[in-house]
Amino acid sequence: MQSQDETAVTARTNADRHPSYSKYLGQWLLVAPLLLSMVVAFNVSVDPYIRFATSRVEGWNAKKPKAIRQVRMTKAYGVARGNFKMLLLGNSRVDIGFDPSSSAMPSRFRPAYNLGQPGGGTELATQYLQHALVTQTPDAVLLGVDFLNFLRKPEHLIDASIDPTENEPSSAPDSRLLSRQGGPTPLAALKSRASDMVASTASLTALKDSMITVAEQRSPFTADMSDEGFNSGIAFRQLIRDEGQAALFRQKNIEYAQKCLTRVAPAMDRSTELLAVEAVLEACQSDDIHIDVFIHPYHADILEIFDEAGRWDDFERWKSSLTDLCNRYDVSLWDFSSYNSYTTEQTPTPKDKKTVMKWYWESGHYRCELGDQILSTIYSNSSVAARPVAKRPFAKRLTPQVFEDWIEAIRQGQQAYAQQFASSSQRARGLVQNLTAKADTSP
Amino acid sequence: MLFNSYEFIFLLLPIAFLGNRLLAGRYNARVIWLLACSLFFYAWWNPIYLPLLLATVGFNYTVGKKLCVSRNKQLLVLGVAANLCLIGYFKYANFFVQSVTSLGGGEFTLGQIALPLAISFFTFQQIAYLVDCYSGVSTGYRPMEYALFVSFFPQLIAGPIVHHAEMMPQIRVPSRRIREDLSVGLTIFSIGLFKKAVLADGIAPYANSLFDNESAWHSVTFFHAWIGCLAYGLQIYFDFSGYSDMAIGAARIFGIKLPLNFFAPYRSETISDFWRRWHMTLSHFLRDYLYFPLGGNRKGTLNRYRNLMITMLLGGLWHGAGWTFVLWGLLHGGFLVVQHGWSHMTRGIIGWKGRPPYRMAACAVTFVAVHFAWVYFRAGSLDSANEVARGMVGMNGAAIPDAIFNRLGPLETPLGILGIGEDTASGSLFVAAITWITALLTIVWTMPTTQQFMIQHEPAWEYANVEHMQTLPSPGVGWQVPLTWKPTLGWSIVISLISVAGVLSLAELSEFLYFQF
Repeated sequence: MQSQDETAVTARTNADRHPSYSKYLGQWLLVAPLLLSMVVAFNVSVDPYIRFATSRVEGWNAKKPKAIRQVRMTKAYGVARGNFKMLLLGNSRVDIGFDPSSSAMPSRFRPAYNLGQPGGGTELATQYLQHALVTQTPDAVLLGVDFLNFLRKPEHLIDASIDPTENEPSSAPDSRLLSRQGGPTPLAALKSRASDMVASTASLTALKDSMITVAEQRSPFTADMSDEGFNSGIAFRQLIRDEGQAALFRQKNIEYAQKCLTRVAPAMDRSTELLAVEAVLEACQSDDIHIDVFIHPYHADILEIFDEAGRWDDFERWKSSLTDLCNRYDVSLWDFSSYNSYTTEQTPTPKDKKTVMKWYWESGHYRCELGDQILSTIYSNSSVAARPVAKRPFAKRLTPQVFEDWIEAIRQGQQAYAQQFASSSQRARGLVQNLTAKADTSP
Repeated sequence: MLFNSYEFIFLLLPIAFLGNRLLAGRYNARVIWLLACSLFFYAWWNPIYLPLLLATVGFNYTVGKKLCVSRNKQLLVLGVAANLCLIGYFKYANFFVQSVTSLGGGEFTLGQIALPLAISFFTFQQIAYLVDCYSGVSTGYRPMEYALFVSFFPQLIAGPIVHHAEMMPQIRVPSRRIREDLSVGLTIFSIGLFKKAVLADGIAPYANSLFDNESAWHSVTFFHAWIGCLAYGLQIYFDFSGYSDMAIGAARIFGIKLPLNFFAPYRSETISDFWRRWHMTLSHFLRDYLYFPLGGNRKGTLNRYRNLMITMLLGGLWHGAGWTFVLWGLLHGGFLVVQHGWSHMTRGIIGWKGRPPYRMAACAVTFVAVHFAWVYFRAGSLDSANEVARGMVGMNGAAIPDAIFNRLGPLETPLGILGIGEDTASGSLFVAAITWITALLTIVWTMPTTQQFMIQHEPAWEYANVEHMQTLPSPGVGWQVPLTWKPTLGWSIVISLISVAGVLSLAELSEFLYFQF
């Protein structure tokens, strides 16, 4: 005879055998993997980050608006897929400013790949170059250098006697970057690649980004990244329609003014940015790769901000150091950061949301049309150095011999700009003055 | 090892389950197997602290055994003191030394002292055990049983702080409802994973962008301060709720029902109510082992307030060694004092207090107070906390992104009159943050808790006993969608979707907020 407790246990056991629980578990084990497989298949077919180079189909995945958000991963795998004759290196100004498939790109340097990394300085560019050199040896490299990358947060000034390239890559993004010297261990590289594979196939972010990719195909302002790593910058057009280019300029100018006011210029021989430039020159020299270096055509607003924030002397010293460095390696350094008809392009009025400027998206980023001008200027002749400089008022190839004259010419250009475009000059300088005043009055 | 990791979900959990099933008829082997799995779970992150865990288990087991035999108060004090010294060294030594030396204008630390994982949890659990041995509540266990009680992996890292009387009987008498336990456990675990990986991690960037970025919190204006604060409040809500569900779900897969640790705290009408619903097992511990021994409310109002302040201050310090945590604890202590004062003053309007307008207002006030305190819990420094708090009360002005402001058309003028200006923050991020906050608040105030959803299947330790069930909080303020789980095709599809979403979220790396306490 069963006790009450035993009866209860038996009843519960019988309840547990109720087929509904078995069925529930069976259905769950069937549906969940099926759903997961569908998600993976969908993500691979859309390929939002150009991770697999899946064919682009109009109306489905031809434009890649989300690749620009995963640009570290996209370009690491993108550059490794091809055998490129030219690599474009730099930060977001390069990313948005240079179309490798442009007609301005010399045919001898095609195919080219835009390895520009938003938010990264030349240290990152060095890593990506090393990564690319594992699988290929391009004929040429074009490196865009940026004074704002030279300025550092005070807490980020490090002992420059430590060679940053000797540091073992440790973070996941670093681990995906191969290098012939001091790259990740095979296990770290494998883990990193597996992690990227999962992130681009079996992740909620990838699913969301795939859905957005498909949904945004019909929009005329959908951002896109080409298979050659070029961010078309077309998303700016939507911003311009919504806010107008004056607002975009203002936002960027404030950002740059804050950077100029809060960051410090390291000693030239302790600048990790300059060390990284040298590392790129060395890498190119040792692989017999032709390299040109250029300073970006900053919009006049930024030049005015540099000056008003008290950074002009640092700016000139930085150029001087670059000139010496490039001269030492017998490499061309082009300076586009002058006051000329491109960089002094006037912004539309704040209420104007229709006008789109010809050369700039905002003060920090120029359009690929201006990028084409840079390419033409640098590569218009196989022996660019021999070409008379006077014919290129847009830029100057800097050498120690011409440096002082060129710098003086820019100073005069600045004075002329302040007279000719007094209100524009004052508007940019006023932002710096406001920020300085705020900082002085804050507790 | 984290619950929201591939290693746990696809490796440890299934292997531990299969081993547990294979050893179902052999009690000792099963205990050893679960203990081995738990130690592997603990050591995965950093094996260096495994010997420390084992040493503290061995020490407390030995002391507990002696206390069970003879009620030696000196031994109890020694045992508790040893535990407190251990946690004091690892968690508070640097804080103490820094605080003392900074008074003299100096800066000195003891160097980097890495906090052993889960030290707060296994220390508190063992202090409670020693006290129970001394009081005669516990008669002792075998060494492996005790080690498993302390280190059982579903509750080891972030709680609940389990009482031996809640867990040990379940280990000794295993459940026979295998399929039900597995169905219920997997369902609760999947819901928890979804809360943590999709919801909490989804809203986290909007909190991080305020608190982790000096240019964002410095002089932060009203709307941005509140968005960041609410985002954090919802992040930690779904993070802890999700973790608690995963712990309960993982344990249930093994037929063990853990006690509740989280029960709709933002539906609370008072701060006391909030603490009855938030980190419930910590609240029980602090009440039973700190507030009551201090005298509780037995020695007059002033002593009661003092005891509340001390309890909450130490509760704050338990969460982290820093002045922001001290202030967070003091704020909650202050809230409790104000609440009790208010209750005393308004004892004549009890009838009103049961009516919806009063209850909703009380819930809103509690919600705002809790969020104000979260600022101090989350901020990386006192400076940033104070700055965000200033922003929340409007001392830094109010502004919205110009991208939004410029689209408001005729509303621009009245906003200007109200003193609301424009700034250069991202308009799309502003809208996305508000959308997230609105969606998650809707879930908070309209969806049933996991326990209410699973109520027909004894979803936690309390539900297995009518008497214990009566101690649970009420549903609280808000309307609830009447959803109840049953093992049906419809729910299997829904839960599959939820679990797939959770697994898809694992590719985004994250850590539990309640991870290193």
